[in-house]
Amino acid sequence: MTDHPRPLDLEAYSVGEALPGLEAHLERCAACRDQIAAIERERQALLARLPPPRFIAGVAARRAAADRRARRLRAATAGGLGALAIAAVAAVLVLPSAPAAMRAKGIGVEIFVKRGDLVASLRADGRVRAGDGLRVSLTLPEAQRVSLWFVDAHGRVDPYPGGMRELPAGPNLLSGVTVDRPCVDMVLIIATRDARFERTLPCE
Amino acid sequence: MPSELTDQEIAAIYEQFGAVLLRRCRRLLGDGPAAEDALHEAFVKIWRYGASYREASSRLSWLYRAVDRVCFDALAARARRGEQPIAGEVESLEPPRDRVEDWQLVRLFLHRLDERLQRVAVLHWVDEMTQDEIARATGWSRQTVCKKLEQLRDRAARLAARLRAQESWV
Repeated sequence: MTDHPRPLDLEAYSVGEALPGLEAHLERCAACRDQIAAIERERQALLARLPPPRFIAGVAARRAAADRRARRLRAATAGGLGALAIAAVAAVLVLPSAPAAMRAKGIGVEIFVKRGDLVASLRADGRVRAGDGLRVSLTLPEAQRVSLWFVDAHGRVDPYPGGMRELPAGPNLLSGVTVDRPCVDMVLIIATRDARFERTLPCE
Repeated sequence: MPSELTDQEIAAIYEQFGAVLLRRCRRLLGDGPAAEDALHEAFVKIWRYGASYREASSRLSWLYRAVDRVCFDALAARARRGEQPIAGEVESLEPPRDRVEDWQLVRLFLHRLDERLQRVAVLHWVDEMTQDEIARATGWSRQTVCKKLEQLRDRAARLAARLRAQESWV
């Protein structure tokens, strides 16, 4: 280590948040004075390349776009949930129920969570947190095509990596995914030819 | 006082701090468009949630934290897309050379750490703070900070071994 101030301290000095003793160091250290001058040059260059009015306009446009996206998502989520409710009612009223044998040999789903160095099966009341690694073990009574996707509380739909896939009978350990930051409550939906499985993954 | 910052306040922050905040973005994300993108995104958040900025004892520290969070999200998004930081990016970082390798590895799993540990990593590898300073900044004891840094180094070493073996959880 050297006895020079850290970049953090020089940056603080350059914006007027000087540390005690730094001034004295700068008086005798040309290298650090050069760094301060370089930061000032960077500041001038940035302001020349992207003057404040243009920067502010860019940030405002980005902010407006984010607001529009959020509004659209809220509307889509509300619409989607409405459609889902109608479909569920229709399914109960119209569709014949699956034969008992088919219900009995439904798919088996287990979710494993990797947190730090620990891997554990996610309990029924388990919660996830940002950064957790998730892997799904899917046991199928017979080979079939399976779709998996996540729907989060903001209405964002993310297909499980790999999209729709043909899986053999027996246990299948699928590839892993990482819970995004910030963590948002989500539902894992697994659909096969004959069955549909949902598992809520609430955040801690 | 309004909870949001005004246009004038945002402009003043940009004029005074924009360049050092961009430097910070580059340290965390590397040179390139991602850093400037993160700067814009950080200002969206600063604008919207910046009321506490007015009362901050160190405005620069407050802004750094806001920028850090945006950069962590960008690193997480980068990981989701399966991108790895470009090896050459590390040249744009400023930590002393003997720390670079650790930081390069830590950056690969930074997005998976909880917020406090992310902060510890950045304070240590990016800001070069001492363990005492990190303890003061995070509210953890020096002993805990020391333990956490050891864990991060171990994790970096394990990641290095895993990368060498070309194994990956995700």
